[in-house]
Amino acid sequence: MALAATVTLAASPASGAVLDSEPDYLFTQQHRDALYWWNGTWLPQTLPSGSHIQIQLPATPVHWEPDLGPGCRPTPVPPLPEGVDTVAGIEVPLEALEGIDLPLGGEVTPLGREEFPNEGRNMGNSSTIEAFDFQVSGTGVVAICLNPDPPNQDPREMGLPAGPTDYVLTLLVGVPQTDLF
Amino acid sequence: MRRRNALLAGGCLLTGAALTALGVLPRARDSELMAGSGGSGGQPLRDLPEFRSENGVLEYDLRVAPEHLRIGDLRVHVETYNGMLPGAVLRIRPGDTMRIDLHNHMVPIGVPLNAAPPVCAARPGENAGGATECLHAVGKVAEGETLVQVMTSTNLHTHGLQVSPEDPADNVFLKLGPGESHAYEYHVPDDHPAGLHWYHPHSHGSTSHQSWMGLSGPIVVEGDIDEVPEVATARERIMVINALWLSESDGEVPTAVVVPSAGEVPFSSIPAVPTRMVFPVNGQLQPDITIRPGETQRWRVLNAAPHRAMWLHVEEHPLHQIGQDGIPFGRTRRVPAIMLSSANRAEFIVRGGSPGRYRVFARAYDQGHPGGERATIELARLVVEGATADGVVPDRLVDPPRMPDQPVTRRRTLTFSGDISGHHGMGVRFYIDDQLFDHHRVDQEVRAGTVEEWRLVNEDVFQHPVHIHVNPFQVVDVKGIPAGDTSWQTDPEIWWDTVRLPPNGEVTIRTYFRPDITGKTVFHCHILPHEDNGMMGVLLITDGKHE
Repeated sequence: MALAATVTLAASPASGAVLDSEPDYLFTQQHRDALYWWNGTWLPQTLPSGSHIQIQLPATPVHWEPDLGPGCRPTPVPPLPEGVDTVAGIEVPLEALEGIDLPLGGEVTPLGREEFPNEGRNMGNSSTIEAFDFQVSGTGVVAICLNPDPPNQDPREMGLPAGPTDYVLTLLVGVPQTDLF
Repeated sequence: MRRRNALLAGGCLLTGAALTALGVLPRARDSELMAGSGGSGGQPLRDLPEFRSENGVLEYDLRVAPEHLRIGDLRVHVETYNGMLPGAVLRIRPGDTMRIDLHNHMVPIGVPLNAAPPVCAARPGENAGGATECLHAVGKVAEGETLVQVMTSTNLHTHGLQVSPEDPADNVFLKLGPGESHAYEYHVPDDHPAGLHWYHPHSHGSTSHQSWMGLSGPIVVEGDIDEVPEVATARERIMVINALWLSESDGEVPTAVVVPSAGEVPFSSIPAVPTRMVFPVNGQLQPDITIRPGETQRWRVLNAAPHRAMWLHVEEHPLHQIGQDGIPFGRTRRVPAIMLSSANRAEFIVRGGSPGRYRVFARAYDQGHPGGERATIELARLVVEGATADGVVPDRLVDPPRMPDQPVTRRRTLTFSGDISGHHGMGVRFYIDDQLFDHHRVDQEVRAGTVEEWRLVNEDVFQHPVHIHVNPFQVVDVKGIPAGDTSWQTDPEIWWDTVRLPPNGEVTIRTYFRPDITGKTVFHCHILPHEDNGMMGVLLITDGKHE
């Protein structure tokens, strides 16, 4: 039996903000920055301005807290492996890649949060899914950060892919998408 | 529509209706369609076109090609069989030969334009060392293993038919790229049971993608049960339930890496695109199925959804089941509802009750997907109207197939497990005996003409529906049915070709490997995203001459 779904609005939506009955875009732990399988080729995906997104993460006993403060930045592009300074014979300017700091331009508005049951679903020790709704608007790069509470050093135990144990999702907002026909 | 309550930061609790009044919940984005209801329902259920064997032979050209279709008020763009969704009914009889020429005219559709495709992604066991890994993409192109290439490769499986798994018959190891064709030929044995089977794509890696487009079609084997008087006089209705996973932007199935999610739409993708799930019956949303009071109809229902179990109910009407997975019963069984896992078929008699409109629905059920119970799906309406009839529900039917009276040659144990966290790489991983599918490896070798028992152990909450190709089986033991769950049929007399495993439970099946069928085939989970992501094994049926 599903847990009662609740939505907590972290702040009153800004004028014009939309809490849809369902989000347009769903992101999970497999969409975050800094996953090893992107192999340095990671690029943020695009969204139109005004999109309602939801981030779903394995939770309980860990819980997630949104962080949209100035410290929330896109994950830098990872450096090449040690001793590698060319790709396909082309010299790569390592200093230009390391620590690249994308300028932020869009806006993120929290819309609410809810919880789903997830006992035994092969996602670490988690027993629920926590879902966070946001509206992204404007034009440019946005970063959305979620931090585990309490902190945990083992991503596998948390039901996350290998890598950091916090969550950063970077999106490029303001790019129109095609409409239905 | 999922019901939400909202709690404002100031502590004031508001209902969804109140939020709508405040302009916070301004639109319910066709959510009724997402549950398979609403839209432009109310059309009479259509009969699918049929092609029947003549003089013992059925020859049929099957062209897979994209088509723009309208389903209810929704426009979709999907690959189809001969422009139809679902495909036509093929009717054959025991002893027939069926020839199908399959032509792949698929094109890449549904490719998300909102992110670079993850062509450089690593797979488990590969070195995830850095940008140089991207060079692997070149090799993937050459081997036809990029996502777009995999999704446009296809083949054909005749699900449930007891035929040779070797070329040119039910060979699921074939992979036909765009522009390629293949001539299939199936020899249906003289003792083949009469019932509903089906055809669908089975190219590893793209079965779920192509099934979410609705690529499926019924195969009816006619025979003894059709001559039971009460069955013969009942109007036949063949129904194919599809699940279409469609992008909101273009009505196409995303060509992307699929990840499970909670909430009303059970999947997202990498990259993420807005999607909805719709559940048409014979390509229609919530059609009307008319019946007279007292009239009996014979319903043959196929769940062709690649992921969703359908716990089929007809409001205020018991179901008089006469067959399961294409194999008839000896006597009719009266049941309140029938659970159809992905790929299951059920055949039953419905007798019209009092005049009125009744829901035909798949009741909400927790099959182990993240987020728990999936919502009820409104599939159709039963409309009881007109003059009263005097239809009779049969009692005795036919002599069903018998398990040969011979000892069990061998007992095996297979274990099913999975990981949906992404810990082992992008997407999900599902295992049999801790191994991902490898078509070069033989996982189980059996001898034709023998009886075996397989203990299928589920180390997962997902209720994996396990399908074994070309030979049906009976269920001799089930452990771990959740308390209070009334959806299970465990009678050992029933024959299945696809049976689900209880969460963290087990099922023991007994199989007779027909002596006239040898060759290499597969067994797998029929939640097709699980099959595509590893949960399949190779079964070699030998004639014993080379042992």
